[in-house]
Amino acid sequence: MSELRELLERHDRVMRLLLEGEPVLGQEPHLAGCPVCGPTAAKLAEVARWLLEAPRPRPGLLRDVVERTAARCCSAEERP
Amino acid sequence: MGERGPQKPGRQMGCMGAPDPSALSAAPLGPRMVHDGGHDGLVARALGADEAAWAEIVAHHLEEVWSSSWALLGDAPAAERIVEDTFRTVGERLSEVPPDGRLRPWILATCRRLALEERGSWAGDVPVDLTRPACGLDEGRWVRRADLERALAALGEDEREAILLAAAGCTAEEVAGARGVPAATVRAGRASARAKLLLLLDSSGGGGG
Repeated sequence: MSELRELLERHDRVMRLLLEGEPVLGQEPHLAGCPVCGPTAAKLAEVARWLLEAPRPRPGLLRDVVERTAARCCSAEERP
Repeated sequence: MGERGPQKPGRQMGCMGAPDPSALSAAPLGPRMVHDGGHDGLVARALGADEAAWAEIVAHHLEEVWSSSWALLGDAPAAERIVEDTFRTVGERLSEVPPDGRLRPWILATCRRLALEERGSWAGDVPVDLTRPACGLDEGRWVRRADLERALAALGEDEREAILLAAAGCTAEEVAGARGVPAATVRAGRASARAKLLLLLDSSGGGGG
């Protein structure tokens, strides 16, 4: 009975972390075996992937950013 | 998109010097292996006025910073400003970088903080852009994506934003700090929005991985 209660408590904890967007570190065994939490995590991951899809940065952005920031970073004499 | 919020004219895009551009032109964007002592070695070299090391750090993290900025702002010019401000901030505080491979989370946290400030500075609601290129998808993914778009569109703007910020890796504490609300409030809002989204996806039969 206590095992079942532990399982349910772990399930509730993992589900709360998933919904709140908090890390679920160390809960991989539960995610792998739970028929609710595993698919929920997969759906939320797909939502995140979709929302984070970005176009490629424009060509030249890297060069521009380096040009505009290198002196601040690399001028030892300006460093306090 | 692109004209929805006030620019920040006071922001100066410093232009105080440059590394050898020829060294950058062939460098691919995106995460790649960092050689020469790893990040700690690169940071030490950059702090020693080695501009090539700084260029290597920027090149290694640029795409991820860009993606986070774009996801949070949905606006290319604004995202570029945040990318530049992120690396300027990181460069100015490079001596404070946590050791042992903590450079990446530090850079991304800086990016998220600046992007959240930018979002907060825009007047009125900042709509979450629901348009995404759909090319290259097989039919199954296209259907799931359509379900997802419908589900997100059925949410309120605050709910969409809560989901976006969580997806972009913003911690509840970061959002709470930017908004001046308790982190518990942010977590509760996220949980509610994500639960609602999952219900909508379940009712449409889509959204599965």
